[in-house]
Amino acid sequence: MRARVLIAVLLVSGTLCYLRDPAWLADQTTGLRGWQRSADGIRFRWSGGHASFFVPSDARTIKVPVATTFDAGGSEPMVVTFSVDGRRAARVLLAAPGWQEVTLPMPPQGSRRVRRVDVHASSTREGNHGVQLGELQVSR
Amino acid sequence: MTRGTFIALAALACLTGYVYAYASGRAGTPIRSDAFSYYVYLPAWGLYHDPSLQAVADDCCGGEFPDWTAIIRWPFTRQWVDAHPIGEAVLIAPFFAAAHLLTRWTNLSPDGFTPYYQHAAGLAGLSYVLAGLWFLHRLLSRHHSRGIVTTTLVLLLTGTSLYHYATFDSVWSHAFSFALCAAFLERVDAWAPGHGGLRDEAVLGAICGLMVLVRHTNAIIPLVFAGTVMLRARYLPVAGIAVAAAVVFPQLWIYHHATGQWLVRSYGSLGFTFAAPHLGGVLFSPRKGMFFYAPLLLAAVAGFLWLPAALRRWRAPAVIVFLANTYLIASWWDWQFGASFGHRGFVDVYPLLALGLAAAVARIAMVPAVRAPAAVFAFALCALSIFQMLQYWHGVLPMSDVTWAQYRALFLRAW
Repeated sequence: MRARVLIAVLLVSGTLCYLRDPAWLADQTTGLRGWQRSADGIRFRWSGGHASFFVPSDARTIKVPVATTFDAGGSEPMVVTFSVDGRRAARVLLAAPGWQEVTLPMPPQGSRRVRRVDVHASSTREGNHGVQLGELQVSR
Repeated sequence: MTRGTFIALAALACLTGYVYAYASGRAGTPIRSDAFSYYVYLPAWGLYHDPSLQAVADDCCGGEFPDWTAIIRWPFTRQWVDAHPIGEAVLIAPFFAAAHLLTRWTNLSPDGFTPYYQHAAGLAGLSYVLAGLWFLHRLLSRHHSRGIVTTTLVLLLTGTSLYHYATFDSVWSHAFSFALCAAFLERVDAWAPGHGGLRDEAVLGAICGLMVLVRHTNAIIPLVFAGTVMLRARYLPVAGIAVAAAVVFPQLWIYHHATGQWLVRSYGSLGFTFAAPHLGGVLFSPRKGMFFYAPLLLAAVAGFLWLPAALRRWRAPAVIVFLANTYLIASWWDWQFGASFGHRGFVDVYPLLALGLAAAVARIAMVPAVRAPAAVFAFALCALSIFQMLQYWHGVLPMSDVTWAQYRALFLRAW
């Protein structure tokens, strides 16, 4: 019985250690559709109302091109809020077509390999399309 | 095989299917389609402390739930009303809490829909099917030998759509209703009205309340079964009824909070067509017929003729529930219940059919001349059921509206 408890404790501890900073997290995204290319040649992904992705924790700044559509599927201005590890990092108002670049200052490197970036759109377009996110530029 | 060994092997079999469904990418994410609206209460209550659901709508969907979620704005109040009740969310809550702690630990987004939440909900459904099998094992073991019980439950798991609803679609309500129905039958069978003490009544009351919370139409099961016991014993279980009412009350409060009414038609304009039920469709058709996709259940129906003496008192209530449930399912505007393998509406009452199936297995086991051919035939039916389930998973078998010509063309076609 004692051996079973010891094995269970070791298994749980080992699993928790692994899950604190797993390598697969770097490629983890939620709320993002597949990559597309816009008419002006920019690669982007649509978010839903909320999306998240991970960036290297040694980055000093992250630049993200953002845009949305203004047409029959929705034309009201959209506020896009970026958070880094749950803390608000930037907010941008999208009131017209065209790409805007958002710069996210990153906190000093912590104990994990990656930091989580959340993107919230104040409204969505038809089919729960939120904001178009272009390719990230990471400055170390 | 002991109960523990059987459940461990069933868990292994279900986990294998679950991992295959999600690792192969066939199943998408566990919280999808109807499962979303059964589950959505948990992030609303646990993360946003907002019973109105608006905070989840703001986070996931820019403020408005899409039509496919079956969450509608109530006319006049403009509050969200979810077509699906809260019971499944209540049952998933412990799994959700563990997932939330792990999500924080790994620094995933704590929005209720990132991977740990998804698979906590998926594994919750799987766990409740195992719990249902555990209760059925306990119930049947009172009346049959261990071999009969094990055979019956293996047939039920692999020869019907139960395995599918423990794995691929485990966050649909059916896994949860199955478990509660099994727990209810086990407890009501052991109940001695007026002699068992308040604890037994309270437990039965809580199970009945949860059954109604998971799917309102489940109410017919405790009404008929417990009602039968009460009539026969001339005993009113006040404590049980009070507990059941207390369990159901939060759902009524939510309806009242959103609409100003205690009872609502949460599906809005969608409803029943009682004058034109699709009885043949839901029982025998290639579209969704329960017996068409799980012909072993015909033996379960026949088995009600051969119930052991101590179970015969449940024959009439089981038949009434089965007929009433069939009529309700067949009268629903979308009698196929959308996408499903077999007819998912019947999964909730599989525990009732397990009583008949066990009696049929016991009867066959008593006749040496038919035992071997029957075993081969049952094995073939289980293998066919699993194969057709895999066809469904791989998109070979359509999700609904299968015609006879289509079925014949696809019969035994690999993916």
